[in-house]
Amino acid sequence: MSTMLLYVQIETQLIYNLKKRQMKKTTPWAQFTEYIQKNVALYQFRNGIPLTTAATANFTRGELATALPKIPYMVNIILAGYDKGTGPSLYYIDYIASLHKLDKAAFGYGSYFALSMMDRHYRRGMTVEEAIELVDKCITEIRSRLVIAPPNFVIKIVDKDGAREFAWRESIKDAPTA
Amino acid sequence: MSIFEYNGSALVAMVGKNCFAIASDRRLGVQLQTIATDFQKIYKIHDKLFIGLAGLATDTQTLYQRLVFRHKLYQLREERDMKPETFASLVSALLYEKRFGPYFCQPVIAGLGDEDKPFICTMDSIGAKELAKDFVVAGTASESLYGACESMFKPDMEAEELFETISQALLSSVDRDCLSGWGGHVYLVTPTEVTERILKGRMD
Repeated sequence: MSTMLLYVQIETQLIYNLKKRQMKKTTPWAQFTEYIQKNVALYQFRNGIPLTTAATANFTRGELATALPKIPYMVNIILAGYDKGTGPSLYYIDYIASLHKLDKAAFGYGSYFALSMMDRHYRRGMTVEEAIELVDKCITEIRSRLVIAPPNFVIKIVDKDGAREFAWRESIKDAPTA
Repeated sequence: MSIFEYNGSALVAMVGKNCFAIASDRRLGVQLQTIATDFQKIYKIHDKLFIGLAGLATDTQTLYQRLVFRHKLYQLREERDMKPETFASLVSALLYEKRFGPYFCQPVIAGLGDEDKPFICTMDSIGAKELAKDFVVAGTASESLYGACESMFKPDMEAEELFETISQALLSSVDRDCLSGWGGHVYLVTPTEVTERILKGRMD
């Protein structure tokens, strides 16, 4: 079994991240991720075997790279997946389609704080509990240091049991959506 | 800032006695921010042919994939590996194909040709070849690499001395360039073996 999770973020409109989530079909990153998701599903239907995380990352990069000289998708992607045999993996794909396998990644204005926190506290082979604690540290740092910090965060987990939503870190409940 | 300096890179190739060495830094950055310190810039085409790609990371990856594809087709059709000279012409042609919307890459090609004669060559982003007998450089640290190589290079070095020279040239050059560094990657190729070494460098 192989499961994946896409974290996608648009270049400029980070602040409106959550509001735009409601209008799924209209945002570039939602359109692009849906396109990737559907193609990965199609591959599985046709061939009976799922794409690995590495294959998905390379497919995604290919799509971004071919669109780049025409009409670029302005989306940055962190692709996390779990494959039997290879274990968990994380891929950094930015909007100009540079692909690289990493241990930890972040995008956007908050990334400066998140990356600093992870450089200091991340270790290889952390448990899920330790990882969540570190994610919370990053969120706290972004909330306290970033002027235009988004109010709400989702934490998702990808492991051998699949990709799932773990928790929300909300500072505004029932945020009004446009 | 130039698009060639977006990710940062340092590439160098040197010729020795019946051997050559090709080396690069390992940084992947986005302008001044470092994303990774284990990024591959030198690729093996076959046992005696290597290509280093400096410049915009996305274009180096795309170009590398196209080159592998073309080389595989060549191998199937001709049932042999490409000569370095032929491969250099292929790279040049692929780059010039995109004359008015180029890949933002500066390739360095190094290989052993007929009778294990070393061949090194570099190119600009639209495929203008520059052949050299001694050494070639590319990337954001190219200016300091020219200086280092000019003073350290000696003709007809043996493999181990060549490795020492290229490593010292690379490590001293990247210290004068903000966009490259974080260790080095060196391939030393002789007619009988290929040695790959990772260099530790200044982490700033």
